[in-house]
Amino acid sequence: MELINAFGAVLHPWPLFFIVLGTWAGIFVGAVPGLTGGMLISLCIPLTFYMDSTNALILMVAMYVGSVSGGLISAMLLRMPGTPSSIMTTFDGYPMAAKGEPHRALALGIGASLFGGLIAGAFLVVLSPPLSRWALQFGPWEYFAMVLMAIVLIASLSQGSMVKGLLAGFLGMLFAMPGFNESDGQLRLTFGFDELSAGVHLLPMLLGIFVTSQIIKDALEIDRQPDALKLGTGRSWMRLCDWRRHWINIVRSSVIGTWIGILPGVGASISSMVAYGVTRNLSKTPEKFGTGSEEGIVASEAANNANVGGALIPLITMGIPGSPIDAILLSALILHNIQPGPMLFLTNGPFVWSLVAAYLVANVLMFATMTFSVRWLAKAAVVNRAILLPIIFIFSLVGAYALSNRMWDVWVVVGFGVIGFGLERAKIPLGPFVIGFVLAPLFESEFRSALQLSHGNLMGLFERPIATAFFAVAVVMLFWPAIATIRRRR
Amino acid sequence: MRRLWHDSEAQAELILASCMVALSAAVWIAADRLPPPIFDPLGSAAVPKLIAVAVSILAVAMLAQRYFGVADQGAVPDPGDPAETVAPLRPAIAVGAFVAMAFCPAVMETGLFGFRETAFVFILALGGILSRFSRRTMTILVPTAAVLAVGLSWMFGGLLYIDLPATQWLPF
Repeated sequence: MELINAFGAVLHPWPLFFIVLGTWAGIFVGAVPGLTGGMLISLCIPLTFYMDSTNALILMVAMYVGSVSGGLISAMLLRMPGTPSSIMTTFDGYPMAAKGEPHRALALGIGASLFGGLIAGAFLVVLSPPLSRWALQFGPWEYFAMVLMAIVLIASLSQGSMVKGLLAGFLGMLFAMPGFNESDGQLRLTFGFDELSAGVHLLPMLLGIFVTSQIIKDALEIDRQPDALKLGTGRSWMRLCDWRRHWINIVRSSVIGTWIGILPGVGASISSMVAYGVTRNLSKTPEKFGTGSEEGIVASEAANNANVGGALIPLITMGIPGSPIDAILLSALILHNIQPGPMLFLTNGPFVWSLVAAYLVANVLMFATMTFSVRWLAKAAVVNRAILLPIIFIFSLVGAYALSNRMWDVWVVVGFGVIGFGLERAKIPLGPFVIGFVLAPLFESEFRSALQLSHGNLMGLFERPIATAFFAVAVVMLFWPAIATIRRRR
Repeated sequence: MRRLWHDSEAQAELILASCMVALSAAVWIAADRLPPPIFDPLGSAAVPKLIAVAVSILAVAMLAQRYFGVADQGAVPDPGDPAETVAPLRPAIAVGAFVAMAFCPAVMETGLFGFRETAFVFILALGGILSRFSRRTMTILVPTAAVLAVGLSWMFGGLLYIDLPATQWLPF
């Protein structure tokens, strides 16, 4: 019932306008290599300061859906994934398009994206209310253990080295330490800079990590100009026989994408990789993967879109970001004076259901937009970055400055741009860094409260079954690579 | 030492690890000077110290992995870059872009020029650097920069009441 009311609310002209705007902007940004959804949403936050909070978050959720989907266009036509989550799509989408079937590749990707998003939406609707009620039982030890689990999970499930994933997470936490400590009002780690009294603000950090570092990276690789495949005339529709052939794969990959999305801190790129791997293992023709396999395209796109819906579940039920972009959405909630966490459903029920409804509508809009305008989107994907990037930086400069009307925050944008660029050069993932930064205050405050409750006794953690379970998962995931190596050697 | 410096990833790792250890040491020293806890068992210094130690250990572990050639793989391997053509990197352009971005707040901080003028010059400068001052791009950039600088200045300053830095000595 609440969802139906929410649909009624978001289909009014203004919310609908923001869903359309967000979805289009997201698809465009997703389609252009070098621009990311994180970049777009970070840039958009300052512009939403003056908006109604529901419309602001609706806009950002629509951008999120659009940006994850738009990446498939450049992945298939330019062999350059528009977003990291489209990497797996590139491996089969481009070969199929190069063989003269670009419309078929796009049709499979767009159709799978729609159903991935809708299946995850169903999970979002069904799982969120009971999960948030369950999370109401959480005390400080549960939250502490859950944040610990989230940090270990993002590190162990981030691509490549686990040490680097963990390092990124803890480094993000370290940068969140300066300023007034909420627990006891103690001013710390300001190193003589008065501006650090309020700590490092989240928005300038995000703009630095997602915008400035990307501009430096794009400048370094400015000669990497893609050769776009010609799209020609044709229809990007999935036929009925395609649905019949791929529905099991779509459902399986969507479920994988949703469940990986629910894991705190794990992004869409991991979902598509896992779904792709599972589909290849189960396929009757695994040798076709990487050469233009339909199954590969469907698995990757269904999973990465499903991840968006899955990742919204821990965000709205527990206030724990399911991916780096969810960390930005979390900061947007806080900036709009909405306290995320299990109480959100009780205190702001209509708002939460509006977000869910907007997510579902954005998926349908994404499908319609991409199906009917893919030819123009393909042209937009090769836009001149020399014109686009300076404009993007100017917006991020104003966004950071507008936060407190001080130039310090602009310097933070520049500084974190260098840090982000350096981390990327060393292949240290940025996702755990951002999530570590966002979760650090929660980690510390809950840890301190928990110890106070247990009179300084760390064993209090093991007196709470849920907290113990979270902690056990964290320990298993921490040592999983070593266990897996030993098993392989045997 | 050669093992830690043989490619750009290794160089970035070494530089970053050194910076992280130095930062962790600075955090430890600053946290050590904080007063002891009064209300709770932990106090404000414990968590920063804990994280600083973790960062240092992991930074050293990253270098050790590089040195001994035993880079671990997490649960999900890196799929690599699917693009076939690898274009040459342009460090000079990247440095130029960074200098332009740092120059922007520096100029406004001096008070010599405000947002409108700085934004105009910045868009031309960064666009020029990225396009190697190609005539075609610059032809598009000049009117774009003018419209954006004036338009954004009006929009943010006049409409949204954001007090953007203004050039004091200009009459308009």
